[in-house]
Amino acid sequence: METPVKFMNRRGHYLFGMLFKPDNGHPPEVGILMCVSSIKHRIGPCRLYTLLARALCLQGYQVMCFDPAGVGDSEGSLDKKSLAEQHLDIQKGKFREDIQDAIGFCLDHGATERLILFGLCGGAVSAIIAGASDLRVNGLILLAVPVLLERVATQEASSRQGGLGMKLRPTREAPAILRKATTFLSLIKVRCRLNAREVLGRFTRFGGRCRLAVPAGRAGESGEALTVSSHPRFNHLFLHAFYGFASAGKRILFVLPENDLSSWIFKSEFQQSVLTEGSPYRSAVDVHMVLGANHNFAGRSSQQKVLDVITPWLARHTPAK
Amino acid sequence: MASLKVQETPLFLETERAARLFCLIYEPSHPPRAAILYCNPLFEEHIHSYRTAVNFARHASSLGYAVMRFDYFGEGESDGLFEETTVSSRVADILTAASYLRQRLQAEVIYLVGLRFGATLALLASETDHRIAGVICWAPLLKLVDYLHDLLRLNIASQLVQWKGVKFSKDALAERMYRGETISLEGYEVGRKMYEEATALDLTKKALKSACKVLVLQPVTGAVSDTETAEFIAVNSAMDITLKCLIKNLFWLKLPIPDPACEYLYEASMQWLVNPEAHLGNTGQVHE
Repeated sequence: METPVKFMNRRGHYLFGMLFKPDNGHPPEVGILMCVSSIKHRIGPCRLYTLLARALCLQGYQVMCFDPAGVGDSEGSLDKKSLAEQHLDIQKGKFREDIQDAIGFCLDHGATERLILFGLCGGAVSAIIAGASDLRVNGLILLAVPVLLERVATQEASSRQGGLGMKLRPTREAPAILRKATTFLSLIKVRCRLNAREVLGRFTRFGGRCRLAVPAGRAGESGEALTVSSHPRFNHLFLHAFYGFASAGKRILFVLPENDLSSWIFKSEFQQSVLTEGSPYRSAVDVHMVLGANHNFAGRSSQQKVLDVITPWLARHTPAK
Repeated sequence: MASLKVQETPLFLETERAARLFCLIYEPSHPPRAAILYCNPLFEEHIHSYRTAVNFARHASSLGYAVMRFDYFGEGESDGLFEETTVSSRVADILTAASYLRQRLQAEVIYLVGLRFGATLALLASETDHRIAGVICWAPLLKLVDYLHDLLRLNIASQLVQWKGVKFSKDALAERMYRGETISLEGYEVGRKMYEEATALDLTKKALKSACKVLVLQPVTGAVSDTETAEFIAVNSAMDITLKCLIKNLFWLKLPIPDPACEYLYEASMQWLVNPEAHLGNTGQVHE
């Protein structure tokens, strides 16, 4: 049974959601909370969230989709920022508090003993960041999770020192030829003129080489650091959240779309370093590639494949009954 | 005028087919001046423009109008699947929603506001429900064939990504539909009847059988053909149609700046609603 719901977040905004409760007469034991992707509202791209929620509800799960403040039918407003900046904020945990407030609502309105967070893209990052610091969350289903932070013009707009000591102005004030540069390569050419000190400083600022500290005794050698990614935009918040969640023995399902760059970046910048043979985190994690799917898992075929991946995983780790 | 307190009520409305339509009604605390039914665009334009629709509903209701937004059957949180829908089914949904709104509010006067394909559907609905007082069209699609063909091209482009080549040409995709299969347009499954009905729609060639007043708000730049709009007005010369080119942000597309300020659009719509006789003028002046 689907019921529109409203609940107040900690900032006094009413958030809107849709609660899907099984009609089978049994109180649901497992709840699934779906976290919006980007700033799209709760039904998800191509109605993915609504259709999955209905299907999972038929299987006996209680599901809730909701809009964070400023999104969809909820109160509040978004900051006046570009879409890229909104994405960056989301990847840094912008929706964490609203998700945690939604978790509280879910648990208060269902006899659920276990709660899974679900999200696509920005929703996946939101889910892992919120879930890592919340003991009430038992598992994560993360679709097309981006492990790099969104590239935002202002990131490259901070002043830089040129190789000849020439100060490069921020992007907005840069000469027209730089303003018109639309390729990352153009910005790289500029960046190559930075002196070594500035390069090191930028790496430090972006946390360039993220190190995952492995707990003593679990990796064979005590305290050995594990290099994950040297990408300057690697999202270390995601990494720390992953570490926090996985090391607590909780389960994560990563679902990757085949025809999406984020999947290959996930593999090269994260999976190949963290989820290697013998990694202590491998047993907590499942990774599935959905063939033929794009970033949004658009199309009935891809949506069905997602359901076909999620269903047995849930049945194995958090069965409805 | 001070903003009125507004009650936002979500509900499911049952249709004649025993299917539920998800609706949200915004009711001012005082008896409403009139009722407005908002008609969504289709495909991903619905997602991109969602918050704009919410903001419009809140704006209009704070001025004393009751507003209802709803999801067509097969979309949003209504029952059904997209592939089960057609143009006709959506027009029927609009008529059902309008009838409910009229009954709930005891409202004599109902206006429709539609965006893009929603505006097209609203105009079609006004041919059947002659108690619709006016239709406000935000960037209406007047000739659907080009719009559908653009979506087909997107399908072909996605084939290049998926299969590194085109497996199904435009004709082959059409053939699949005629065989009873669906094809994916922007991730939505479209069947033959929907495609045929939509591509046959050409509001520039045949006059609407409607007597309601119409406000057409088009983008400032050439995002919509001026010729099509002129032809639409010419073929419906018996109708009272006001045209104004003032939409400056194509908020139904995925924009670099999300949720752009559209107060100028709401104000222009509400000004016309208050006094449709005082035409806004066709000078295409942009409101800052």
